[in-house]
Amino acid sequence: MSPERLEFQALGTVCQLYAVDRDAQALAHGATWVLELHRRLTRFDPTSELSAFNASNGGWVRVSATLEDLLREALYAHEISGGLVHAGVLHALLAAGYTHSFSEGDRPNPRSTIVLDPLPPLPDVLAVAPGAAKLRPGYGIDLGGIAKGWLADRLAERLGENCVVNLGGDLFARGIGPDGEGWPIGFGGTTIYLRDQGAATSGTIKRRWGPDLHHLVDPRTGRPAKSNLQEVSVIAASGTDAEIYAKTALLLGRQSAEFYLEQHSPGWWLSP
Amino acid sequence: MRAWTLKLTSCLLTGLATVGSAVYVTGHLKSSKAPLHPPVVTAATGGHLNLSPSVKSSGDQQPLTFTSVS
Repeated sequence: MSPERLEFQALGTVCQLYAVDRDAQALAHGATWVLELHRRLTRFDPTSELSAFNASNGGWVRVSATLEDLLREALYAHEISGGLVHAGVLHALLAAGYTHSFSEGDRPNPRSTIVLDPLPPLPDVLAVAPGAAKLRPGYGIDLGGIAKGWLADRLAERLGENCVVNLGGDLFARGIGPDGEGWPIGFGGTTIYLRDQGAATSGTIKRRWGPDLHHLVDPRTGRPAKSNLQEVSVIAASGTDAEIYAKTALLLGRQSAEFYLEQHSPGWWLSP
Repeated sequence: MRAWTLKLTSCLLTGLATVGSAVYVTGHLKSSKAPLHPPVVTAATGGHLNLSPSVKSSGDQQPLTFTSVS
């Protein structure tokens, strides 16, 4: 059975939707939903809800249910990654020169010197309550590290019982797939079949704008990470978890990554 | 049949079974250095792929989509 397919640009990357027994209109609605959330959650648009939150001056501010969920997810990611997946890296990214979206055509500005400190634990920076959140002055949130996996998980729930949502390589495969074996997904040079599972890849080979300058900040240093891994792909129970595990493994480096992933994932790909 | 014939036959059968078992076991030794778990299925150039037995894979099947850095 051939699934319905839709490809579109959002979140600064290419997104793909596949679904069995759903028509093109259902996929189009899914794409519209992603684009709408992108508009609300991007840090590159000063009018977005996330930018407004980042501009708040240390007090409690009202946030939408979606942003609240994502901020809670950021705290969860920080916890299960031992502090390595840290959404409070916005100022570190800006200091490193990542001031423009790659999709806008402008390359970020390389900075010759970056003077930054290790980041404090995320719970010291961000607090979330029902319908409200608070951000420590001098810090900002970048959801790029977890939003794609989270959105893939949520959209798969909306698209139906047999679908794949792939948002720039962070994906969730729901259901038995087009032939009943699971969804065939390219993973580390082979094809795997995923069924109600997520997969994600984290790496430093893209979104680079200079020597040692890339989008993946190590909160232990406050600077773009230096790892002996360039790319990590991970399978997990959800797209969100896969993304968290992949990023954590990359920041840990090869030796510790394997030990960490053995505890969390049924399959992974490490590229030096 | 005489008793010593039965004793001799049983001794011969026991001996044959012992020798046969020893030959079979020494011919099917497992390497103590063989990786047991988890298995490395395949590896694309320069990387290391590790899939547990619970993950179904196929090198021949074309993927519908793939995970990658974006």
